[in-house]
Amino acid sequence: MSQGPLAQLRERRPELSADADLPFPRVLGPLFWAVMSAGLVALILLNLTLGAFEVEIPRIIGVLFGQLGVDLGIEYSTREEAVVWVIRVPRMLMAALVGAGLGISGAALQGLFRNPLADPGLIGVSSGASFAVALAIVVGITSWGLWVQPIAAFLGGLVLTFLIYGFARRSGRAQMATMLLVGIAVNALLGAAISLILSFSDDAELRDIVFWLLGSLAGSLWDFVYYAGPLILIAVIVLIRQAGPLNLLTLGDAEARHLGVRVQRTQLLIVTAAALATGAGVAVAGVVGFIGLIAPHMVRLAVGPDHRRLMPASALAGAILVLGADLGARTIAAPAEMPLGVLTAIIGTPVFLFLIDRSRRSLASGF
Amino acid sequence: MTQLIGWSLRRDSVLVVIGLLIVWLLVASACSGGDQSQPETGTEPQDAVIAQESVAAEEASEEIAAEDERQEESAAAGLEQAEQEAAASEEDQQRQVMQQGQQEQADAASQQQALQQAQQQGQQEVTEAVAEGTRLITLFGDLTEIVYALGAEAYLVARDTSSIYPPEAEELPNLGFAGGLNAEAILEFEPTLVLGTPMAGPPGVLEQLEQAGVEVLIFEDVNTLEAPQIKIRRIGEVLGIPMRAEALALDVAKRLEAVMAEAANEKPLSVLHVYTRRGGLQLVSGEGNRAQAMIEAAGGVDAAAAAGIVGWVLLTPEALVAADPDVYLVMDRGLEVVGGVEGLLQIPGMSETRAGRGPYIISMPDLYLLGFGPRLPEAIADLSGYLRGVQAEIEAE
Repeated sequence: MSQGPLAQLRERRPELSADADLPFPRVLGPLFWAVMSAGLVALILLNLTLGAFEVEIPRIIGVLFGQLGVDLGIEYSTREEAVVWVIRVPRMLMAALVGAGLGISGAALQGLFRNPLADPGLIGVSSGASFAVALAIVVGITSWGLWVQPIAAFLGGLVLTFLIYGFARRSGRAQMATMLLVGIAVNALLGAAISLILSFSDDAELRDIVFWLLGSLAGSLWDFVYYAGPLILIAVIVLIRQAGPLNLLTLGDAEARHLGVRVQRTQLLIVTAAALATGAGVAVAGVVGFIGLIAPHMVRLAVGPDHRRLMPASALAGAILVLGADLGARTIAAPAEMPLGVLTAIIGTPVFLFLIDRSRRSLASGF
Repeated sequence: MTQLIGWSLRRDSVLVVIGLLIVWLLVASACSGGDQSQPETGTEPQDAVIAQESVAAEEASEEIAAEDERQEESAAAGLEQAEQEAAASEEDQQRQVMQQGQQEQADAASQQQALQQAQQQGQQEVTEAVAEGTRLITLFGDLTEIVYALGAEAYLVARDTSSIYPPEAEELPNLGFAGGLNAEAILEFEPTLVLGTPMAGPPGVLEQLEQAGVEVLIFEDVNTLEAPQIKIRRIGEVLGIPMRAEALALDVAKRLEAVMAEAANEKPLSVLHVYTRRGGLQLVSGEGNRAQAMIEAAGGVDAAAAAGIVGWVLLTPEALVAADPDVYLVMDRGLEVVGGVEGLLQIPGMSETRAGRGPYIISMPDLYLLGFGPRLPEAIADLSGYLRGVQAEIEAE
C-alpha cells in the first residue's frame, strides 16, 4: 500500500493510526498475538485430549502418528483409534475452521457496512441456509443421504445472499446501506417462513430443525472437513487480501474510489467470500450464533480497527471461541450433547459485556 | 503499522506454544490420572452385573446338568431341529391367528404357553441366547421396552432420554435426546449394537459410529397396529433370539385381538388428538397418524381424519369447529406444558366444541399412548375404558 492514501486516512480518521488511544496498552500488541495463537494451540490440544471417552495421551499421540504412517510403537485399540481419528480430529478441525470463517466474515462485514452490529447472518447466509434445511427436512428429502442437508444449507445461504445483493444493486451500484436494510427485511421474512414450516412439522421434524438451528459439530465427518475446509480457507485468504481496500472503504465509497479502490469489485468480493466462509460453516455445523458479531469486537479492542490486523485476529478469536464452546458442548453434559449455539451465546455474551465495560471508548468508534 | 503479523506471530508464539504444550501435557495427564478412577467405578457395576450373570448362567447350566445329564445330550442334538420346526409352525399359526377364527387362536395360545413354559424351564439357554458380549444401546422408548419385554435387558448399557419404561430403564445411563447424540459418549459404553428410530442423529454421528465399527439399526416408523410385532421380530432377529421374539409378538397379537374385540363400539365417540407443546404451537392429528390407529382400535372415530385432515395441521378454531369432537385426547406431558385442563381450554376454540363444553379430556402418558411398543394392547384397552366412561357421562346428562 502506498503512503499517499494512508497518510490521508490517518489525517481524517486519527483513531485508525498506530498511535491511537487503545483501551489496552499498545505494548500488548505482540503479546496479544502470542497469547491468541498459544490459546488456539492449547484449545486444539484440549479438544483432542478431553472427551466422554477416555484415551490416554500417549495413545492419542500414537494414533495421530499412526495415521500419518509413523509407528511409534504405542499400542492402542481400534476403538481408541476411532474416537481420536474418526470423531475428535475432524470435529476439532471443523470447530476451528467454522469459527475462523465466522470471525473473519463478521469483521469484514462490520467494516463493509460500517456498522458495529453487522454479522454474517445479516447478508442472509444463515437464514437462507436455515430455510433450505427446514424445507428439506419437512419435505423429507433428507432421507436421501447424509449430503442433502449440508448441500441444501450451502446453496440456500448463497442463493439468498446473492438475491439480497442483487436487489440492493438494482439502483445501479450496490449501496451497502440498502443491502443492510434489504438483509434485515429478508431475514425477518425468512424467520417467519421458518416458523411456518415449524408449525407444520411433526415432533421428529420439529426437533431435527430446532436442533439444527441451535448448531452442532457432533456429526463432523472427515468428508465435511474435505469439502467445507478448503472453501473456508479460500474465503479467509480472499478476505485477508481485501483488508487494505476495506480500510479505505471506511472513508466512504466516493473517497475510496478516488484513492483507487474498485469499490464494486471489493464489495462483491467481500460479500461473496463472507457468504462462502459462513455458508460452508453453516452447512456442516448449523447456525452458530454470536461468533461473527463478538469475535471482531473482542480483538478490535486489542489490535485496533486496522483491518489488516483486525481480520486475522478475528479469525483467530472466532476459532478459539468455537473450539472452546465445542469443548463444552462435548463434555459438560456428557454423555449427552449440548447445543453449540447455546454455548457460544453463554460464553460470548459475558465476554462481550466485559469488553464493553472495559473499553474506555464506545465499541462503535472503529467505524 | 508496518509490523507484519506473521513476524510477531512467529517470534512470540513459538516459545509460548512450547510452554503451553508442556502445561497441556501436565494438566491433561493430571486430568486423565484423576479420570482414570472414574471409568473404574463406572465399569465396576457393569462388570459385576456381567459376572453375576455368568455365575447365574453357570449355576443354571450346572443344575440342568445335575438334573438330567442323559436327557441333555439327546436334547442338545435334537433341539436345533425342534427349534426350526417350532418356529415354522409358529409362523403358520400366527398367520392363522391373524386371518381365522378363535379356535386356532386358542390352539396357538396353548402352544405358545407350552413354548413359554419350555423356555422358563431353562431350555432357552441352550437353544437360543443373545450372543456373548453383546452391548446394546436403545435410542427410543419403544425399543427399550421391547428389549425389556424380551428379557434381554441385561445386555443394555445405555438409553436415550425417552426410554422411561419400565422404571428400571431410567437407571441406565442417559445419552440425552436421541436427535442430538454425542458419538464419543456412545463409544464410551463400548456398544456392539445401537437400535434407533429415524429421529436418531445428527446423521453424521450415526456415520461416525458405523466407521468406529458399531452396528447401527434404524427402525422405520410404522403407524399401524402391526408396529409392535414388526419391531419385536426384528429386534429378536438381530439379538439372535427369534423364538422368544416370536412368542412375544404372538402374545401381543393375541392380546391386541382380544382388546379390539372388546373395544368395538356401536356408537363410536369422535375423538380428537391434540398435540400440545411449549411455545404456543398446537397441532391436530389427522389421517395416517398413530393417534388415528389408536382411536379406531379403541372403538372411537378420529374426528380430524373424519373432517378430512391429513397428517398434522396447526390447531385453529376453524379446524376445531370443523372436527367438533366429543373428546380430546392429549398426552400427559403436553397437558402439563400448556397448564393442565384449564390451560388447554383457554387455547382459542378449544372450549367451543362438544369436548370442550363437557369438558371431556383424556390424558395418557406419551410413550404409552403413541410408543406402539409391547404395551399397545393395554394402552388401547385403557383408552377404550376411558371412552366408555365418557360415553356413560354423556348419556347420563
